[in-house]
Amino acid sequence: MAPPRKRAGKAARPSLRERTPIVEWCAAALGLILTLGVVGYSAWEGLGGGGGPPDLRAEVREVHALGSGHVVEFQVRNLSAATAADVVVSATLRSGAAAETHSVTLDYVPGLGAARGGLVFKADPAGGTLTIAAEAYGEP
Amino acid sequence: MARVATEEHYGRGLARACAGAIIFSFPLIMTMEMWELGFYVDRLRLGLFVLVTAATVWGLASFAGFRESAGRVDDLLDAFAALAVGYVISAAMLALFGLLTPDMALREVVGMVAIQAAPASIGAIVADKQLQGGGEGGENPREERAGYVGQLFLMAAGALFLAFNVAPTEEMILIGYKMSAWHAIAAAAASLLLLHALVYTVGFAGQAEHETHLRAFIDFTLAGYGIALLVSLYILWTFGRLDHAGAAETVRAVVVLGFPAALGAAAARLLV
Repeated sequence: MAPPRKRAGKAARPSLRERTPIVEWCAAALGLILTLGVVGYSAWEGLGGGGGPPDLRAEVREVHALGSGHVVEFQVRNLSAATAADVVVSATLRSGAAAETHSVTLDYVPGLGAARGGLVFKADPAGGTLTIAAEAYGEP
Repeated sequence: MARVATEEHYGRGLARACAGAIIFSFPLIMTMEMWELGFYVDRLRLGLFVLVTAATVWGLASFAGFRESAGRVDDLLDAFAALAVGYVISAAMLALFGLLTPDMALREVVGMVAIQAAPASIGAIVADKQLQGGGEGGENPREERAGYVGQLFLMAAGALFLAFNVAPTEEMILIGYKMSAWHAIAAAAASLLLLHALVYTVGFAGQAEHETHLRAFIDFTLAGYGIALLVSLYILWTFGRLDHAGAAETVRAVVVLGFPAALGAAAARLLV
């Protein structure tokens, strides 16, 4: 990235302003801003507390009737900064005396992030009550 | 007119730095554990790691390469430009492979890009310094002027880069579990032996003054292995790999990662 520099003696060296291309100033400024930005953001988040366990909220997004059954698309949001790994999401569909339960394990639900998945039911969720919850997690 | 030529030359340098960043960072960009580290790594450790990376890049800007010394401000500008290239390239590559998506939380994006930017920035500065053409200043490589501390810094940078390349994988811990205490001793001995062989044959600058094996062993091999172990410990701690580990597991993991770190320290002269 350095401009060509003649191997002349120090006396003949152009000033910093002369020998530094404008692009170099721009690139360096961008690097400085990004570095400070990441450090600042991380420090702000790290010092801002937010300890405690993952706060997982599972919710149904959409239900699709497909040939294989009724696909329940869900999303698990994590309201805490702590990331949860191996999150077990389980949903139960009750219609009358019949109950149908399916579960899935999500690799990660990032802190302050979300993860999505789907569960397949034989019965139509519209004909019963569907409950969904994140039931267990491990620490990454 | 001269100004235009300079700008053009600088543009070519930036392109070279981008190429270096891509080559150095793609193995880690294609590593699953690295994406996950982006969101679960402790935020204060991440902040510290970004600072350590910046300092390493600055050090490389000052010591590495064959160019005539250009002055402190030039080195600093080079370092920040390399960091900018690192961030931009890692974000672009992560996006290219569909690993960065608009519905991701800002926290995830920042973590992922910041971690991947480390090898990318190191690649950028090394490519820039190294591919610049050593012909002109070749007879007076800068690292010769760097002195002993500079040599140790280069070893640390090499150790950091290679250790960083394998540290995120699950295997580092798994290998530690599989090894007995005797394996660990053998691995440490092998690391020292390899380090010494490379130090002696590759030949560190300034080695001529103390040509005996013993001096080279004490000055570079032992010191280098110490650095490699410290760098391993730091990387493992940054990635939270030692958080609930006992003493035996910690020592084992540090020795395992110390092997690539020692190779990196020894090869620092080849890499940078």
